[in-house]
Amino acid sequence: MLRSGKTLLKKSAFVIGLDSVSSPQNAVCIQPSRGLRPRKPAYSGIAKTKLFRIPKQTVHPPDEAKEMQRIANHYRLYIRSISDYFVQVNRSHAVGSQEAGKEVEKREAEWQDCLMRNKQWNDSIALSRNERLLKERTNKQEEISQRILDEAKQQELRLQAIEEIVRIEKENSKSYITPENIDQAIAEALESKRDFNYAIDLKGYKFVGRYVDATGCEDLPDVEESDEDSLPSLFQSAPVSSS
Amino acid sequence: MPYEFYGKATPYCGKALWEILGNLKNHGVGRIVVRNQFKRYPEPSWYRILKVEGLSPEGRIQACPPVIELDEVRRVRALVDSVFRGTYRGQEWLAWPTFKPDFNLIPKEEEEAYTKVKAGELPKSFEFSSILPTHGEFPPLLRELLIRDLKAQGTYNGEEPMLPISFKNPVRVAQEGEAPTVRITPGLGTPVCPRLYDNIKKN
Repeated sequence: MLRSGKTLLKKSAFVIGLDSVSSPQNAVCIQPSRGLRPRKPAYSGIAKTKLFRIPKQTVHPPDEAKEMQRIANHYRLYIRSISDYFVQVNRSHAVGSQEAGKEVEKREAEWQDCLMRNKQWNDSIALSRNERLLKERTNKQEEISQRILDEAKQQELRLQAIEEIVRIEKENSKSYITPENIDQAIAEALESKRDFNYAIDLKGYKFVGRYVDATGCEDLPDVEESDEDSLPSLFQSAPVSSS
Repeated sequence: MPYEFYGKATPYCGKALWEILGNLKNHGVGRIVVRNQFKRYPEPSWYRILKVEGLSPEGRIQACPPVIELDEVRRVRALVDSVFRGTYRGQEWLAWPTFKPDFNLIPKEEEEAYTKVKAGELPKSFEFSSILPTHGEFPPLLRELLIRDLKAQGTYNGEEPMLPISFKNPVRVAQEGEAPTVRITPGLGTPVCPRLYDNIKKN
């Protein structure tokens, strides 16, 4: 397709009628797209025949290299200067022309319009923003004063609760065992026997579980020795591991 | 088995800067480091390390997950006394080229022989060899065309039109009331290697 581009363009030029207008020596530009020459894609890598090729680097004698460098530098300096000069000249011509002046004026007017509209917009937004900020500020002040009141109330409640705790503790401290009354407390504890070995059924009846006689002394029955293997597995002693 | 290199020769020879400085006491402050590429000049070029800093990734655009480029990791920031081609160029921060595996360390006993100055001293500062003019001559044909245009406009007063020279590299340009030491003309100039022009016949 690309290779046939030239002929295609020629044909299209013929169809349009350009062929008859322009002479073959001074024809329309039929140069096909130069940058689109079909090439090998970049991912195909280095060709096998070129893979182990060692490109030879040209080495010039030092004085010749220096001379070439000097000439190239001079050339580049001149070309850059001349192109810059022409750019400057072109620019000054363009600035001086009437059309360019109109364009500049138009742009300036547009810029001023943009600035004015921006200012109007900023002003209107500033107005609403100030209102909003004022409202927010008053709301915040109210909120802060309310929070101060709430905090004071909370503090009062907290102090009351603390005082209640202190009062209860003071009452309780009357029954505390201190170094002064420790002997008396021990004597009392030894005197008063308590038996917690009982069970309560669902109806609340209390069954004293220990074998006691009428005087409160223990009266245990004789222990019956039983074979361990006959007991349920839960009551058997744990097997001794071999390891 | 001997190695045989093929392909284009690399211009670099040596280590990245941090590979050298990271193994030295006090990160090599006071030591002399050279770029291999600058060894091609006859005069010595070298750096004396004054301060070394790490480079944080904070300044860079953060990606998620973070992309750590090898070059970025290899880079370091070092303040150096820079000497290029035998003249002192002032202090500078080396950061961008530090990842290049092109730095060589000069042993302490060879420092004076390499730098050609006493230990701890610096060579003389760089000065431009010539004062360049701001304007040069136009090429002959362009000059004639310009004069013709000026004459057509009626603004030609016999003065030679001069081309403003746009320098790219930092140069010493003549200030007001200062005479330039060289002229810029479109000709061949004074050749460095006259033997190349021996066979040219001049009429």
